[in-house]
Amino acid sequence: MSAALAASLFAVDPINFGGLRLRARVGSARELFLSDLAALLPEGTPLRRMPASISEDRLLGGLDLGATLATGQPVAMRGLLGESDGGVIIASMAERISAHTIAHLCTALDTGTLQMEREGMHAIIPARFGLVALDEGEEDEGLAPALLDRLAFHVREPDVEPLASKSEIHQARDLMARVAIDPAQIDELVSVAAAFGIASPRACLFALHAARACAALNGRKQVSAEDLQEAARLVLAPRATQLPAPPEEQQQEQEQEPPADQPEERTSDDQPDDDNEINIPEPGAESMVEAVRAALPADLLRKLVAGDPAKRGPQNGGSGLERRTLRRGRPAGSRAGELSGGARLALLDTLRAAAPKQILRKKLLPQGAAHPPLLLRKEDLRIKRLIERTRVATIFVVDASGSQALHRLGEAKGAVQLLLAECYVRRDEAALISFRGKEARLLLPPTRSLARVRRELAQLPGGGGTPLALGISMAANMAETIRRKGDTPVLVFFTDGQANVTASGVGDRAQAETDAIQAARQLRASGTRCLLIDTSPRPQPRARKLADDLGARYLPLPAAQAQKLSAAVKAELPR
Amino acid sequence: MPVVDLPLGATEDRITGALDIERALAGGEKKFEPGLLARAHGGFLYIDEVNLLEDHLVDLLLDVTASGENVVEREGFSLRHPARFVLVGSGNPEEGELRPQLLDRFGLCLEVKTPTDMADRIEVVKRRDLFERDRAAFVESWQKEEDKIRRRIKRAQTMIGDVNVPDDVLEKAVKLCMTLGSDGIRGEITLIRAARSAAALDGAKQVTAAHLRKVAPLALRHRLRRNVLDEFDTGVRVARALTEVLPA
Repeated sequence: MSAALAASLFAVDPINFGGLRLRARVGSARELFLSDLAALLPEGTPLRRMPASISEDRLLGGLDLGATLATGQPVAMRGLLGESDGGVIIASMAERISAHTIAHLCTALDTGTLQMEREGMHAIIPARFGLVALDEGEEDEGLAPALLDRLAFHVREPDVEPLASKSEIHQARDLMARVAIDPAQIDELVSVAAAFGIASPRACLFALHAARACAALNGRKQVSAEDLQEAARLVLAPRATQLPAPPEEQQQEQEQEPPADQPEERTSDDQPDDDNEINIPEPGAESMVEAVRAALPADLLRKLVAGDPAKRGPQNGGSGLERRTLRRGRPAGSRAGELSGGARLALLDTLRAAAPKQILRKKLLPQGAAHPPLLLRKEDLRIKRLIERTRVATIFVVDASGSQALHRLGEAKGAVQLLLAECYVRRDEAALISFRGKEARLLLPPTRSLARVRRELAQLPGGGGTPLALGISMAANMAETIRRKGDTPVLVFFTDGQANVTASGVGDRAQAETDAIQAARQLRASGTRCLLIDTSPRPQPRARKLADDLGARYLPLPAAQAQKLSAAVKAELPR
Repeated sequence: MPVVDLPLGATEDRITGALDIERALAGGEKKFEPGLLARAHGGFLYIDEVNLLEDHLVDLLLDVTASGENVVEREGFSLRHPARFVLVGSGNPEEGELRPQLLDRFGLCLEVKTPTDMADRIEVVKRRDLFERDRAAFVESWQKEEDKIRRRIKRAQTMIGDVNVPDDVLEKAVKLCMTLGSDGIRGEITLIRAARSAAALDGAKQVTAAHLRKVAPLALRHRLRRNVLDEFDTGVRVARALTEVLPA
């Protein structure tokens, strides 16, 4: 019955509730739920469907191509956000919405307006709406946390309960503004939110609003304890990240409990509180705590009891999204050109190019000849320039010298394997270079076949001197080749930085070091992204120095556990 | 003083300014229509979600903030106009890092976190609720408080020229930056400038170590080399260096 009540409350005041996240598969239950909800909105309320792939033009508005060409005057076209003012937007596949669209939605939800600074137009457009986000994501994917935080209700499955009637909703809408709440009730609500580890103040405000709507729906002018419980159940329970300690065990718990749960899982505006004090709800709030506890979905409750983080933001998962934004071109101005090969017309720039020539062109026409309002010529055409995300090729440069073989080659191999998994997820290419004895060798040119990289790596022998300069130079050459193909190279060095073979393959420690530094600085000048993983048993100043010369991030292997390592490489990869 | 918003979806022509298309099409008139940079001149330019700004727009901003001047070379225009403004940006670093070059353009950097104190949280919720229910009354009720702050800032502005930075404080500022290994000397310069402002706000004619301590995290946290292995955020590193160089 929670989905039905959430939908009813949302229908009372869609705009101030921000929205409703409905996590459900496509199906008749979902469609029925949506049409029931739509029926509760007042006549003439704008209701728009938004696909996850919506373009910025359509979302924010821009120039109307047809009307502009027909009239010869710039004609503005409203975007979806502006069209939906005062209404509801239904976003399908909300888990796939791009980061930019999320940011636009969040800004509009926060300010209720849209500032247009596009294609010669400047306007502040009202854009107050409620958002129904249909989330079909699997466990590890999900809606962006920033957007989720701005939606009051998080509903899991639509249920078959009927929603409130149209007249009830109508009555509640009128009553809503006059519903009073006791300040002590606000204190209770905030303390209950804190007890369940809910950091966002928005959640409390939504719960407050839900309590008011609940009272209004029941025809009351004062929020009751039951209204508060319902509000806590609907708004707070789905956001819980921890369970409140029972009052009698509080003292003990406080001592043992590690601070909330893993902070690295959180977004920065969702930090857990180390302050254990918040675990003690206000007196009089127990019934609300019980209501929230009872409303926790079974799986969420299990996770909380087990101490698992309840919510994982999609910032680490959501590989689909990442991949998609990676491949999609971003706008970067326009240039003169022809409309062929799928190029998109930059209308405004085309008009700008054509405008100064209009008077002359009209003069050149035969006297009295009929002509369209705008005389366009082929040379006026401007097409949109998109920056295509380039492919990334990760080059692994492995030091297989004697000093390495002694301690760390095995571990370095293991680390490469981990990073390969990352490349695989991103559909990136990988290449392998090793250096030992008197030479550096290209074991594998850039390939998508990561299995080959793994095989080469397994067969990689160790021993001999360390021709560091040769390894660096070869890596630099390969990076250059990759760059010329239009792709982006990323270098990952595995070495302890102890050079003892020179650039010409002669054993001479002092010269070898000088050569290595010189090669490193040359590589740095090319601006290639580098990561240096120090494979010595203890972090070495020499390796750190080499990383500086390379302009590389430095990461010592002893501390470089799997997760950190791949996080570090990920950070180096172009987004 | 203008406060201009630069929204994420803004296009280049609206930022730099461009040919006034309406006039051009109607009368063939070639008139320059100034953009957001021109409007922000002498005031503030605010960018929400600045970390998500398109790269080609970031490049544009980098150029303008460095030179204080907007150079337009497009559609037959060749002109320049002054564009000096205070750049204010906000964003969630989890959604994307800011390019270091752009980060460097910001004098101060502030990390905003959810309040952890129970009483604070209740107060936040109550105030916001009041604001939502009756904006005008809420603004009215805080008017006096706001005026007080405004007067304080005005006073500080008039006296900031007379605030003195003693040599020992300057030395400590430099030592702090060296301990932290901040890049370049922009750190020192910003630190001193911020400390002087803090002193002026207090109505003090002399900058003290206390002022330095107060502004150091703001002025320095975004100027440190990032270390992937360092678990602590840069604010904590600044705080540590502070206890070392400037024990309270």
